[in-house]
Amino acid sequence: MFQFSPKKEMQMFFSKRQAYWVSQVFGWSTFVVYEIVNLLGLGFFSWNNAVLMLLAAPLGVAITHIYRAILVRWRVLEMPFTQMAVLALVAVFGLSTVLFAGLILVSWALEGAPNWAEVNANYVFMSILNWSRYIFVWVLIYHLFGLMERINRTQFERLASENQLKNIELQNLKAQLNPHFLFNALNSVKALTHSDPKRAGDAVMLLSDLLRYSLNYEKQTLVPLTDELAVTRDYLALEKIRFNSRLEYALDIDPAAEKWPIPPILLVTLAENAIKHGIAQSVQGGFVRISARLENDKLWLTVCNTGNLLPKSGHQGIGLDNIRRRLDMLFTGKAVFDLKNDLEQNTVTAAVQIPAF
Amino acid sequence: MTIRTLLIDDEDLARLEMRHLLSAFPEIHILDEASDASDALDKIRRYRPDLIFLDINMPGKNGFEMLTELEESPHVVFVTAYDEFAVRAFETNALDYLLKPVRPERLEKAIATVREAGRELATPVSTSASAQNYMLRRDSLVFIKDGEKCFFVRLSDIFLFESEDNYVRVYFGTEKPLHRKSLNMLIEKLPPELFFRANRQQIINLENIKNIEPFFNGTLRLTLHNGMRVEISVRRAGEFKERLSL
Repeated sequence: MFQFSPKKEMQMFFSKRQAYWVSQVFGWSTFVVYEIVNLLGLGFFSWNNAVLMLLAAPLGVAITHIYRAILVRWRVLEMPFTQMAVLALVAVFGLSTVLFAGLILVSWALEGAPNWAEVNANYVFMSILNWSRYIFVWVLIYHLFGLMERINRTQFERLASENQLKNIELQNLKAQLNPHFLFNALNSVKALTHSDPKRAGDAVMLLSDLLRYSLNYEKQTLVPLTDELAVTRDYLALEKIRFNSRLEYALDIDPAAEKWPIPPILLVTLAENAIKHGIAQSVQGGFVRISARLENDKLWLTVCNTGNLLPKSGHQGIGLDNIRRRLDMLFTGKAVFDLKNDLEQNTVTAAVQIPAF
Repeated sequence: MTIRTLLIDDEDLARLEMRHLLSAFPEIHILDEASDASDALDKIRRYRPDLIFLDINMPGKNGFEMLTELEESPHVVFVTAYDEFAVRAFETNALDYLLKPVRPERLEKAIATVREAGRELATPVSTSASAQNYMLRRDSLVFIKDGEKCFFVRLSDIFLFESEDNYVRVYFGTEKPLHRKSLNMLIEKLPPELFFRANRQQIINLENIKNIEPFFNGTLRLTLHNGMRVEISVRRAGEFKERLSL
């Protein structure tokens, strides 16, 4: 959703590049004008000085451009702030020294050998300091722009991931209230009110437990398997009322696994999928088998149902996508989710391995 | 007037509930129930009900798919838990739909609509007609599903069938959906006093001809009421003249 097309990226890169060159030319031209005005005002103007300044500008462009190439190659703008600041300060003096040395060579070529008596440590240091004022401005502007861009990007990324989370939540919300199931269940209850009032009462209780759970589960990140099993049993009992002889189900739970924390609504979603695709699609119906056991310090949950993965439903639906994403987020990729179709046995098995949290 | 009715739903309790609701309507006579599409197709062909209550979401074929297999459709009241958007997509002549759990008032309204339609049609129920020699009547309802669009159209409202690849394009009103039947299969079921095969590709409704003129080499050119032009082939021209002079 938040990916740029390659073309767009190219366009952005190009305009950034243009902005960079405009700034370079504008900045160093300003420097030349400023220096010449300064020399004129103070009465130090000489053609030699003016030519020196005119030559300093392209030299400055070249030196800073090489510096930029180094920044890009070493990814300096992505370093932690203090590290980057220290490097930038070192760079200011380094670049100024190079610029100063370059200009000495230029003036040597123009005016002949300098008066070596004048070149003492103090003169060199002060000259470098003098040039560093301009380099400092350049480095400051460049790094600030880089920093700003970085902040914008992280903010954008944060918004994007928040948005994605919201999407998942929304889809969970939609998934938890499967209207098809809900209205069919209500219709069954209505039928039972005159044919078997006692069972109708039981069904209302099952339905209200299931609804309460599905409205509240988001408040917890993980629930013990037993809690989830209780609602899964409610759910299956309700579907049994609906499908009657078309649905057989069994649960095989290792008591040692009962306390294992799992993401809420996970098992219900798997059971719902099993019924939606396995039982509701078949005239004869079939079975749903749920098992849970501990092995290698992991919880192994399987939901097996009669039926086949339909080739026409190539995608596995919102429910399963959500399960995968939630498991990835919670267990950072250490939980495994797998859907297998055994064509010989005519069964589909959803298997989840959940590590300790 | 008795309305001979068939209930079609894959859930036992849903059928039970419908039976219970319908017991308040003495004119509704429930012939039987069906729990899936193939069961329903058998029973519709056997009983020829006036009305079916049809669940859309069923195992195997869904309600729409089932209807497309019928030569002629009874009146249909769709019953669904959550697919009303699917039923709302109907273009013409859709009878009615009910949402589960069904409100008795809504059911009463639906049955009133059926009663109205029934009076208009005064359907004579053909007995002992097997699927092989089954003939459509001028007031037969035909269900056509073309992609997402569904139509119930009265046979006499159709003015032209035109073969297109292996299917038939059906012209009526301003619509021309594609019907998943072959022209050859269709011609055998159509009432001959109403429909005439004009050429290899087209079957016309004889009541919809506006103008006839001679065309090249002994062919005839017809203009239909909607302005469409149809050519009668040389081979068919003789029989056509005979039919009209009758």
